[in-house]
Amino acid sequence: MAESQSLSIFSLIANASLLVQLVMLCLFMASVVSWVMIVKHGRYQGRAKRLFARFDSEFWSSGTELSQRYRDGNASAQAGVVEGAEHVFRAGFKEFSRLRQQSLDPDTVMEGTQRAMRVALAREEEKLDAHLSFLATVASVSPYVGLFGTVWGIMNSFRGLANVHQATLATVAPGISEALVATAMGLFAAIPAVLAYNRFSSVSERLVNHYTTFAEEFTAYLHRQLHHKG
Amino acid sequence: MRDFWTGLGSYRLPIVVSVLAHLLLVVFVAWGWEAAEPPRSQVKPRYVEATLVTIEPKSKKPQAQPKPNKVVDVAARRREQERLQKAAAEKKRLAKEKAERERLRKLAEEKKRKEAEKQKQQAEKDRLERERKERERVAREQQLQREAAIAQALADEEELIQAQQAEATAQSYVALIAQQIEQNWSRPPSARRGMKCELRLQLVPTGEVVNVTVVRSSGNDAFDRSAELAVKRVGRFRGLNDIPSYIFDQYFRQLTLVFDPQDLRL
Repeated sequence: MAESQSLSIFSLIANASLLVQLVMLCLFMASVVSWVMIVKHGRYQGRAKRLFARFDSEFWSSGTELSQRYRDGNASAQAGVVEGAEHVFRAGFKEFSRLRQQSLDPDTVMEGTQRAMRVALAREEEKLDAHLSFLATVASVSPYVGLFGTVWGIMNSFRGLANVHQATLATVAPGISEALVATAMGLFAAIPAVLAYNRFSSVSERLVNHYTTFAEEFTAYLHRQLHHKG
Repeated sequence: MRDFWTGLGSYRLPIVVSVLAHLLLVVFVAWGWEAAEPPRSQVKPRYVEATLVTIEPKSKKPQAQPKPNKVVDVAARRREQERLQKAAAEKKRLAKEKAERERLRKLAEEKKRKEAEKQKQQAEKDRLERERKERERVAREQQLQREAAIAQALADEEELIQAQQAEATAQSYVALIAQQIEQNWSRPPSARRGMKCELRLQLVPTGEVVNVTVVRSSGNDAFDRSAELAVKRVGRFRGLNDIPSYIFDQYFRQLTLVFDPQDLRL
Protein backbone atom coordinates (compact mmCIF):
# COMPACT_ATOMS: atom_id res chain seq x y z
CA MET A 1 0.00 0.00 0.00
CA ALA A 2 2.45 2.55 -1.11
CA GLU A 3 -0.14 4.94 -2.43
CA SER A 4 -1.12 7.35 0.27
CA GLN A 5 -3.99 8.55 -1.83
CA SER A 6 -5.87 11.61 -0.78
CA LEU A 7 -9.05 10.25 0.70
CA SER A 8 -11.04 13.33 -0.07
CA ILE A 9 -14.74 12.73 -0.29
CA PHE A 10 -14.75 13.48 -4.00
CA SER A 11 -12.06 10.99 -4.83
CA LEU A 12 -13.98 8.43 -2.77
CA ILE A 13 -17.10 9.06 -4.81
CA ALA A 14 -15.19 9.08 -8.08
CA ASN A 15 -13.58 5.73 -7.27
CA ALA A 16 -16.81 4.02 -6.29
CA SER A 17 -18.37 1.46 -8.56
CA LEU A 18 -21.04 2.52 -11.04
CA LEU A 19 -23.96 1.16 -9.08
CA VAL A 20 -22.87 2.88 -5.90
CA GLN A 21 -22.43 6.08 -7.84
CA LEU A 22 -25.95 5.75 -9.21
CA VAL A 23 -27.30 5.18 -5.73
CA MET A 24 -25.47 8.26 -4.51
CA LEU A 25 -26.83 10.31 -7.39
CA CYS A 26 -30.38 9.15 -6.64
CA LEU A 27 -29.99 10.05 -3.00
CA PHE A 28 -28.56 13.43 -3.81
CA MET A 29 -31.43 14.18 -6.17
CA ALA A 30 -33.92 12.96 -3.58
CA SER A 31 -32.37 15.29 -1.06
CA VAL A 32 -32.53 18.24 -3.44
CA VAL A 33 -36.13 17.58 -4.40
CA SER A 34 -37.24 16.98 -0.84
CA TRP A 35 -35.70 20.27 0.17
CA VAL A 36 -37.59 21.96 -2.65
CA MET A 37 -40.74 20.46 -1.23
CA ILE A 38 -39.86 21.43 2.29
CA VAL A 39 -39.25 25.06 1.39
CA LYS A 40 -42.33 25.34 -0.79
CA HIS A 41 -44.63 23.61 1.64
CA GLY A 42 -43.24 25.43 4.63
CA ARG A 43 -43.96 28.75 2.97
CA TYR A 44 -47.42 27.61 1.91
CA GLN A 45 -48.41 26.45 5.36
CA GLY A 46 -47.01 29.55 6.99
CA ARG A 47 -49.08 31.69 4.69
CA ALA A 48 -52.18 29.57 5.30
CA LYS A 49 -51.78 29.97 9.06
CA ARG A 50 -51.37 33.73 8.77
CA LEU A 51 -54.35 34.05 6.43
CA PHE A 52 -56.56 31.98 8.69
CA ALA A 53 -55.67 34.01 11.78
CA ARG A 54 -56.47 37.24 9.96
CA PHE A 55 -59.68 35.89 8.41
CA ASP A 56 -60.91 34.45 11.66
CA SER A 57 -60.49 37.64 13.66
CA GLU A 58 -61.95 39.82 10.89
CA PHE A 59 -64.89 37.60 10.20
CA TRP A 60 -66.31 37.43 13.68
CA SER A 61 -65.37 40.85 14.98
CA SER A 62 -66.30 43.18 12.13
CA GLY A 63 -69.97 43.80 11.71
CA THR A 64 -69.89 43.94 7.92
CA GLU A 65 -72.67 42.35 6.01
CA LEU A 66 -71.96 38.91 4.60
CA SER A 67 -72.86 39.84 1.05
CA GLN A 68 -70.56 42.84 1.33
CA ARG A 69 -67.78 40.58 2.50
CA TYR A 70 -68.44 38.24 -0.35
CA ARG A 71 -68.20 41.04 -2.85
CA ASP A 72 -64.97 42.26 -1.29
CA GLY A 73 -63.38 38.96 -2.04
CA ASN A 74 -64.52 38.91 -5.65
CA ALA A 75 -61.39 40.56 -6.97
CA SER A 76 -59.02 38.03 -5.47
CA ALA A 77 -61.37 35.18 -6.41
CA GLN A 78 -61.08 36.18 -10.03
CA ALA A 79 -57.31 36.02 -9.78
CA GLY A 80 -57.76 32.52 -8.37
CA VAL A 81 -55.92 33.02 -5.14
CA VAL A 82 -58.64 32.30 -2.63
CA GLU A 83 -57.25 30.07 0.08
CA GLY A 84 -58.24 28.38 3.28
CA ALA A 85 -61.21 29.46 5.32
CA GLU A 86 -62.04 32.17 2.84
CA HIS A 87 -62.51 29.54 0.19
CA VAL A 88 -64.83 27.59 2.45
CA PHE A 89 -66.78 30.70 3.26
CA ARG A 90 -67.12 31.74 -0.37
CA ALA A 91 -68.23 28.30 -1.52
CA GLY A 92 -70.79 28.07 1.26
CA PHE A 93 -72.18 31.55 0.85
CA LYS A 94 -72.41 31.28 -2.92
CA GLU A 95 -74.39 28.09 -2.70
CA PHE A 96 -76.52 29.50 0.13
CA SER A 97 -77.53 32.64 -1.74
CA ARG A 98 -78.15 30.78 -4.97
CA LEU A 99 -80.41 28.23 -3.30
CA ARG A 100 -82.23 30.84 -1.29
CA GLN A 101 -83.08 32.77 -4.44
CA GLN A 102 -84.79 29.67 -5.70
CA SER A 103 -86.73 29.84 -2.38
CA LEU A 104 -86.55 26.21 -1.60
CA ASP A 105 -87.34 24.99 1.88
CA PRO A 106 -84.72 25.75 4.54
CA ASP A 107 -83.53 22.18 5.03
CA THR A 108 -82.67 21.77 1.37
CA VAL A 109 -80.84 25.09 1.36
CA MET A 110 -78.80 24.12 4.41
CA GLU A 111 -78.01 20.72 2.96
CA GLY A 112 -76.73 22.20 -0.30
CA THR A 113 -74.68 24.77 1.57
CA GLN A 114 -73.09 22.16 3.78
CA ARG A 115 -72.24 20.00 0.79
CA ALA A 116 -70.56 22.90 -1.00
CA MET A 117 -68.53 23.68 2.09
CA ARG A 118 -67.48 20.08 2.49
CA VAL A 119 -66.20 20.06 -1.05
CA ALA A 120 -64.24 23.24 -0.48
CA LEU A 121 -62.85 21.80 2.74
CA ALA A 122 -61.72 18.66 0.98
CA ARG A 123 -59.93 20.78 -1.64
CA GLU A 124 -58.13 22.72 1.07
CA GLU A 125 -57.10 19.59 2.89
CA GLU A 126 -55.76 18.16 -0.32
CA LYS A 127 -53.69 21.28 -0.93
CA LEU A 128 -52.29 21.19 2.60
CA ASP A 129 -51.22 17.57 2.29
CA ALA A 130 -49.99 17.92 -1.28
CA HIS A 131 -46.30 16.92 -0.98
CA LEU A 132 -46.37 15.07 2.26
CA SER A 133 -46.48 11.65 0.66
CA PHE A 134 -43.30 12.40 -1.25
CA LEU A 135 -41.54 13.49 1.93
CA ALA A 136 -42.73 10.36 3.69
CA THR A 137 -41.40 8.21 0.89
CA VAL A 138 -37.99 9.88 0.96
CA ALA A 139 -37.90 9.63 4.73
CA SER A 140 -38.57 5.93 4.83
CA VAL A 141 -36.85 4.71 1.68
CA SER A 142 -33.63 6.66 1.37
CA PRO A 143 -31.88 5.01 4.34
CA TYR A 144 -32.52 1.66 2.71
CA VAL A 145 -31.27 2.84 -0.64
CA GLY A 146 -28.14 4.17 1.04
CA LEU A 147 -27.72 0.92 2.88
CA PHE A 148 -28.04 -0.96 -0.36
CA GLY A 149 -25.24 1.11 -1.88
CA THR A 150 -23.09 0.45 1.15
CA VAL A 151 -23.72 -3.26 1.17
CA TRP A 152 -22.93 -3.45 -2.51
CA GLY A 153 -19.72 -1.50 -2.08
CA ILE A 154 -18.57 -3.60 0.88
CA MET A 155 -19.45 -6.76 -1.01
CA ASN A 156 -17.21 -5.70 -3.85
CA SER A 157 -14.40 -4.70 -1.56
CA PHE A 158 -14.49 -8.07 0.18
CA ARG A 159 -14.58 -9.86 -3.11
CA GLY A 160 -11.43 -7.99 -4.04
CA LEU A 161 -9.98 -9.05 -0.71
CA ALA A 162 -10.48 -12.70 -1.53
CA ASN A 163 -7.94 -12.44 -4.33
CA VAL A 164 -5.28 -10.90 -2.18
CA HIS A 165 -2.88 -13.32 -0.58
CA GLN A 166 -2.15 -11.28 2.46
CA ALA A 167 -5.13 -9.44 3.80
CA THR A 168 -4.52 -6.21 5.61
CA LEU A 169 -6.85 -3.54 6.81
CA ALA A 170 -5.44 -1.17 4.23
CA THR A 171 -6.76 -3.31 1.38
CA VAL A 172 -10.38 -3.08 2.52
CA ALA A 173 -10.47 0.26 4.26
CA PRO A 174 -10.84 2.52 1.19
CA GLY A 175 -13.62 0.36 -0.24
CA ILE A 176 -15.58 0.35 2.99
CA SER A 177 -15.03 4.05 3.43
CA GLU A 178 -16.39 4.82 -0.01
CA ALA A 179 -19.31 2.47 0.53
CA LEU A 180 -20.22 4.17 3.77
CA VAL A 181 -20.56 7.48 1.96
CA ALA A 182 -23.75 6.07 0.43
CA THR A 183 -25.28 5.41 3.85
CA ALA A 184 -24.29 8.85 5.01
CA MET A 185 -26.04 10.37 2.03
CA GLY A 186 -29.14 8.28 2.63
CA LEU A 187 -29.35 9.47 6.21
CA PHE A 188 -28.64 12.99 5.09
CA ALA A 189 -31.64 12.88 2.77
CA ALA A 190 -33.88 11.07 5.23
CA ILE A 191 -33.46 13.06 8.43
CA PRO A 192 -34.78 16.43 7.18
CA ALA A 193 -37.55 14.63 5.34
CA VAL A 194 -38.71 12.89 8.53
CA LEU A 195 -38.61 16.09 10.54
CA ALA A 196 -40.46 18.04 7.85
CA TYR A 197 -43.03 15.34 7.39
CA ASN A 198 -43.87 15.22 11.06
CA ARG A 199 -44.10 18.96 11.35
CA PHE A 200 -46.11 19.49 8.20
CA SER A 201 -48.62 16.78 8.94
CA SER A 202 -49.29 18.11 12.41
CA VAL A 203 -49.67 21.69 11.13
CA SER A 204 -51.96 20.55 8.33
CA GLU A 205 -54.11 18.58 10.74
CA ARG A 206 -54.46 21.59 12.99
CA LEU A 207 -55.39 23.84 10.08
CA VAL A 208 -57.98 21.41 8.78
CA ASN A 209 -59.46 21.29 12.28
CA HIS A 210 -59.67 25.06 12.28
CA TYR A 211 -61.39 25.07 8.89
CA THR A 212 -63.87 22.43 10.00
CA THR A 213 -64.70 24.37 13.12
CA PHE A 214 -65.17 27.49 11.06
CA ALA A 215 -67.45 25.64 8.66
CA GLU A 216 -69.56 24.41 11.57
CA GLU A 217 -69.82 27.85 13.07
CA PHE A 218 -70.73 29.37 9.73
CA THR A 219 -73.36 26.72 9.16
CA ALA A 220 -74.87 27.45 12.53
CA TYR A 221 -74.91 31.14 11.69
CA LEU A 222 -76.63 30.60 8.33
CA HIS A 223 -79.05 28.21 9.92
CA ARG A 224 -80.00 30.76 12.50
CA GLN A 225 -80.48 33.41 9.81
CA LEU A 226 -82.61 31.17 7.65
CA HIS A 227 -84.91 30.04 10.42
CA HIS A 228 -85.13 33.50 11.90
CA LYS A 229 -86.58 34.79 8.68
CA GLY A 230 -88.69 31.80 7.97
CA MET B 1 -41.15 25.93 -22.76
CA ARG B 2 -42.48 29.23 -21.59
CA ASP B 3 -45.51 27.55 -20.09
CA PHE B 4 -43.29 25.20 -18.28
CA TRP B 5 -41.39 28.04 -16.66
CA THR B 6 -44.50 29.98 -15.70
CA GLY B 7 -46.05 26.80 -14.35
CA LEU B 8 -42.90 26.41 -12.33
CA GLY B 9 -43.35 29.92 -10.94
CA SER B 10 -44.33 28.95 -7.46
CA TYR B 11 -41.45 26.47 -7.36
CA ARG B 12 -38.76 28.85 -8.45
CA LEU B 13 -37.76 30.10 -5.03
CA PRO B 14 -37.80 26.68 -3.34
CA ILE B 15 -35.64 25.24 -6.09
CA VAL B 16 -33.13 28.04 -5.81
CA VAL B 17 -33.01 27.73 -2.03
CA SER B 18 -32.62 23.99 -2.08
CA VAL B 19 -29.93 23.91 -4.75
CA LEU B 20 -27.99 26.66 -3.00
CA ALA B 21 -28.18 24.83 0.31
CA HIS B 22 -26.83 21.67 -1.26
CA LEU B 23 -24.04 23.48 -3.04
CA LEU B 24 -23.08 25.08 0.24
CA LEU B 25 -23.07 21.69 1.88
CA VAL B 26 -20.85 20.21 -0.81
CA VAL B 27 -18.39 23.04 -0.45
CA PHE B 28 -18.31 22.70 3.33
CA VAL B 29 -17.90 18.96 3.19
CA ALA B 30 -15.07 19.30 0.72
CA TRP B 31 -13.27 21.85 2.83
CA GLY B 32 -13.96 20.32 6.18
CA TRP B 33 -12.81 16.96 4.94
CA GLU B 34 -9.53 18.27 3.65
CA ALA B 35 -8.94 20.33 6.74
CA ALA B 36 -9.51 17.33 8.96
CA GLU B 37 -6.55 15.57 7.43
CA PRO B 38 -3.54 17.81 7.33
CA PRO B 39 -0.86 16.43 5.08
CA ARG B 40 1.26 14.42 7.37
CA SER B 41 4.86 14.86 6.45
CA GLN B 42 7.21 12.42 7.90
CA VAL B 43 10.11 14.12 9.49
CA LYS B 44 13.20 12.22 8.78
CA PRO B 45 15.66 12.28 11.60
CA ARG B 46 18.67 14.23 10.74
CA TYR B 47 21.77 12.52 11.78
CA VAL B 48 24.40 14.66 13.27
CA GLU B 49 27.60 13.60 11.74
CA ALA B 50 30.24 14.29 14.21
CA THR B 51 33.77 14.06 13.17
CA LEU B 52 36.48 14.70 15.60
CA VAL B 53 38.86 17.36 14.51
CA THR B 54 42.19 17.02 16.06
CA ILE B 55 44.13 20.16 16.37
CA GLU B 56 47.56 19.16 15.64
CA PRO B 57 50.03 21.02 17.65
CA LYS B 58 52.17 23.11 15.39
CA SER B 59 55.16 21.05 15.82
CA LYS B 60 57.69 23.33 17.24
CA LYS B 61 60.84 22.14 15.81
CA PRO B 62 63.52 23.06 18.15
CA GLN B 63 65.60 25.69 16.52
CA ALA B 64 68.88 24.60 15.50
CA GLN B 65 71.34 25.62 18.06
CA PRO B 66 73.83 28.13 16.89
CA LYS B 67 76.73 26.28 15.62
CA PRO B 68 79.71 26.68 17.77
CA ASN B 69 82.21 28.78 16.04
CA LYS B 70 84.75 26.74 14.40
CA VAL B 71 87.53 29.08 14.56
CA VAL B 72 90.66 27.44 13.69
CA ASP B 73 93.36 29.10 15.31
CA VAL B 74 95.11 30.24 12.17
CA ALA B 75 96.74 33.19 13.62
CA ALA B 76 98.43 31.16 16.25
CA ARG B 77 99.73 28.83 13.67
CA ARG B 78 101.09 31.62 11.57
CA ARG B 79 102.74 33.08 14.53
CA GLU B 80 104.14 29.68 15.32
CA GLN B 81 105.57 29.42 11.89
CA GLU B 82 107.14 32.84 12.12
CA ARG B 83 108.58 31.89 15.36
CA LEU B 84 109.77 28.67 13.87
CA GLN B 85 111.70 30.47 11.32
CA LYS B 86 113.21 32.66 13.97
CA ALA B 87 113.42 30.50 17.07
CA ALA B 88 115.19 27.28 17.58
CA ALA B 89 113.89 24.06 16.16
CA GLU B 90 113.29 22.61 19.58
CA LYS B 91 111.21 25.37 20.79
CA LYS B 92 109.40 25.42 17.54
CA ARG B 93 108.61 21.79 17.75
CA LEU B 94 107.48 22.06 21.31
CA ALA B 95 105.26 24.93 20.55
CA LYS B 96 103.93 23.22 17.55
CA GLU B 97 103.22 20.09 19.48
CA LYS B 98 101.58 22.02 22.16
CA ALA B 99 99.45 23.88 19.69
CA GLU B 100 98.64 20.70 17.97
CA ARG B 101 97.59 19.06 21.19
CA GLU B 102 95.58 22.05 22.13
CA ARG B 103 93.81 22.07 18.86
CA LEU B 104 93.07 18.38 18.96
CA ARG B 105 91.71 18.62 22.42
CA LYS B 106 89.55 21.51 21.47
CA LEU B 107 88.31 19.71 18.42
CA ALA B 108 87.48 16.61 20.39
CA GLU B 109 85.69 18.58 22.99
CA GLU B 110 83.72 20.39 20.41
CA LYS B 111 82.76 17.21 18.71
CA LYS B 112 81.65 15.63 21.92
CA ARG B 113 79.49 18.56 22.79
CA LYS B 114 77.89 18.62 19.37
CA GLU B 115 77.13 14.95 19.61
CA ALA B 116 75.41 15.31 22.94
CA GLU B 117 73.41 18.23 21.66
CA LYS B 118 72.29 16.32 18.63
CA GLN B 119 71.26 13.35 20.70
CA LYS B 120 69.23 15.49 22.98
CA GLN B 121 67.48 17.11 20.04
CA GLN B 122 66.73 13.79 18.49
CA ALA B 123 65.27 12.46 21.72
CA GLU B 124 63.07 15.48 22.08
CA LYS B 125 61.82 15.16 18.53
CA ASP B 126 61.10 11.47 18.97
CA ARG B 127 59.16 12.11 22.11
CA LEU B 128 57.01 14.79 20.47
CA GLU B 129 56.37 12.56 17.52
CA ARG B 130 55.34 9.71 19.72
CA GLU B 131 52.99 11.87 21.71
CA ARG B 132 51.36 13.22 18.61
CA LYS B 133 50.89 9.76 17.21
CA GLU B 134 49.42 8.59 20.47
CA ARG B 135 46.91 11.43 20.52
CA GLU B 136 45.89 10.77 16.96
CA ARG B 137 45.42 7.13 17.65
CA VAL B 138 43.19 7.80 20.67
CA ALA B 139 41.10 10.28 18.71
CA ARG B 140 40.70 7.86 15.86
CA GLU B 141 39.66 5.12 18.21
CA GLN B 142 37.12 7.31 19.89
CA GLN B 143 35.64 8.32 16.60
CA LEU B 144 35.45 4.74 15.49
CA GLN B 145 33.70 3.84 18.68
CA ARG B 146 31.18 6.62 18.24
CA GLU B 147 30.48 5.64 14.67
CA ALA B 148 30.06 2.07 15.73
CA ALA B 149 27.57 3.12 18.39
CA ILE B 150 25.49 5.06 15.88
CA ALA B 151 25.60 2.23 13.42
CA GLN B 152 24.61 -0.14 16.18
CA ALA B 153 21.60 1.98 17.10
CA LEU B 154 20.50 2.21 13.49
CA ALA B 155 20.92 -1.49 13.03
CA ASP B 156 18.92 -2.15 16.19
CA GLU B 157 16.07 -0.06 14.95
CA GLU B 158 16.11 -1.69 11.56
CA GLU B 159 16.16 -5.04 13.22
CA LEU B 160 13.15 -4.19 15.33
CA ILE B 161 11.13 -3.14 12.29
CA GLN B 162 12.20 -6.23 10.47
CA ALA B 163 11.29 -8.37 13.42
CA GLN B 164 7.82 -6.88 13.48
CA GLN B 165 7.37 -7.53 9.81
CA ALA B 166 8.69 -11.01 10.19
CA GLU B 167 6.29 -11.58 13.06
CA ALA B 168 3.33 -10.55 10.91
CA THR B 169 4.47 -12.74 8.06
CA ALA B 170 5.02 -15.63 10.41
CA GLN B 171 1.54 -15.17 11.83
CA SER B 172 -0.02 -15.54 8.42
CA TYR B 173 1.89 -18.73 7.82
CA VAL B 174 0.95 -20.05 11.23
CA ALA B 175 -2.66 -19.46 10.26
CA LEU B 176 -2.04 -21.45 7.11
CA ILE B 177 -0.58 -24.30 9.11
CA ALA B 178 -3.45 -24.23 11.59
CA GLN B 179 -5.90 -24.37 8.74
CA GLN B 180 -4.29 -27.45 7.28
CA ILE B 181 -4.22 -29.16 10.64
CA GLU B 182 -7.87 -28.33 11.09
CA GLN B 183 -8.70 -29.90 7.75
CA ASN B 184 -7.06 -33.14 8.73
CA TRP B 185 -8.39 -33.28 12.25
CA SER B 186 -11.12 -35.71 13.08
CA ARG B 187 -12.90 -34.99 16.28
CA PRO B 188 -12.74 -37.76 18.85
CA PRO B 189 -16.06 -38.44 20.58
CA SER B 190 -14.66 -37.50 23.96
CA ALA B 191 -13.50 -34.07 22.85
CA ARG B 192 -15.18 -31.29 24.69
CA ARG B 193 -15.53 -27.62 24.16
CA GLY B 194 -12.58 -25.58 25.40
CA MET B 195 -9.97 -28.31 25.16
CA LYS B 196 -6.60 -27.28 23.88
CA CYS B 197 -3.16 -28.76 23.80
CA GLU B 198 0.21 -27.44 22.88
CA LEU B 199 2.11 -29.11 20.05
CA ARG B 200 5.70 -28.73 19.09
CA LEU B 201 6.38 -29.26 15.43
CA GLN B 202 9.76 -29.62 13.85
CA LEU B 203 9.62 -28.59 10.24
CA VAL B 204 12.05 -28.49 7.37
CA PRO B 205 11.90 -25.76 4.74
CA THR B 206 9.94 -27.90 2.30
CA GLY B 207 7.12 -27.96 4.83
CA GLU B 208 7.66 -31.56 5.82
CA VAL B 209 7.02 -32.47 9.42
CA VAL B 210 10.04 -34.10 10.97
CA ASN B 211 8.64 -34.59 14.40
CA VAL B 212 5.62 -33.70 16.42
CA THR B 213 5.21 -33.91 20.16
CA VAL B 214 2.58 -32.87 22.62
CA VAL B 215 4.17 -30.36 24.93
CA ARG B 216 1.22 -29.66 27.15
CA SER B 217 -1.65 -32.06 27.33
CA SER B 218 -5.28 -31.06 27.28
CA GLY B 219 -6.02 -33.64 29.94
CA ASN B 220 -7.69 -35.89 27.46
CA ASP B 221 -5.45 -38.48 25.85
CA ALA B 222 -7.75 -39.10 22.94
CA PHE B 223 -7.81 -35.41 22.13
CA ASP B 224 -4.01 -35.12 22.32
CA ARG B 225 -3.59 -38.14 20.10
CA SER B 226 -6.09 -36.83 17.58
CA ALA B 227 -4.21 -33.53 17.36
CA GLU B 228 -0.90 -35.33 16.92
CA LEU B 229 -2.44 -37.60 14.34
CA ALA B 230 -3.85 -34.65 12.44
CA VAL B 231 -0.37 -33.16 12.12
CA LYS B 232 1.06 -36.49 11.04
CA ARG B 233 -1.67 -36.90 8.54
CA VAL B 234 -0.83 -33.57 6.99
CA GLY B 235 2.71 -34.83 6.62
CA ARG B 236 3.83 -31.96 4.56
CA PHE B 237 2.42 -28.47 4.88
CA ARG B 238 1.65 -26.82 1.62
CA GLY B 239 2.47 -23.23 0.92
CA LEU B 240 5.52 -22.96 3.13
CA ASN B 241 7.99 -22.98 0.26
CA ASP B 242 7.97 -19.27 -0.14
CA ILE B 243 8.81 -18.35 3.42
CA PRO B 244 12.00 -16.31 3.56
CA SER B 245 14.63 -18.52 5.06
CA TYR B 246 15.47 -16.28 8.00
CA ILE B 247 11.84 -16.27 9.06
CA PHE B 248 11.69 -19.99 8.71
CA ASP B 249 14.73 -20.47 10.87
CA GLN B 250 13.41 -18.11 13.47
CA TYR B 251 9.85 -19.34 13.77
CA PHE B 252 9.21 -22.58 12.01
CA ARG B 253 12.11 -24.89 12.50
CA GLN B 254 10.78 -25.33 15.99
CA LEU B 255 7.16 -24.29 16.03
CA THR B 256 5.11 -24.41 19.18
CA LEU B 257 1.47 -23.94 18.53
CA VAL B 258 -1.65 -24.20 20.58
CA PHE B 259 -4.16 -26.52 19.03
CA ASP B 260 -7.47 -25.01 20.02
CA PRO B 261 -10.33 -26.21 17.86
CA GLN B 262 -12.55 -23.42 19.11
CA ASP B 263 -10.34 -21.07 17.18
CA LEU B 264 -10.92 -23.29 14.21
CA ARG B 265 -14.63 -22.74 14.47
CA LEU B 266 -15.47 -26.30 15.43
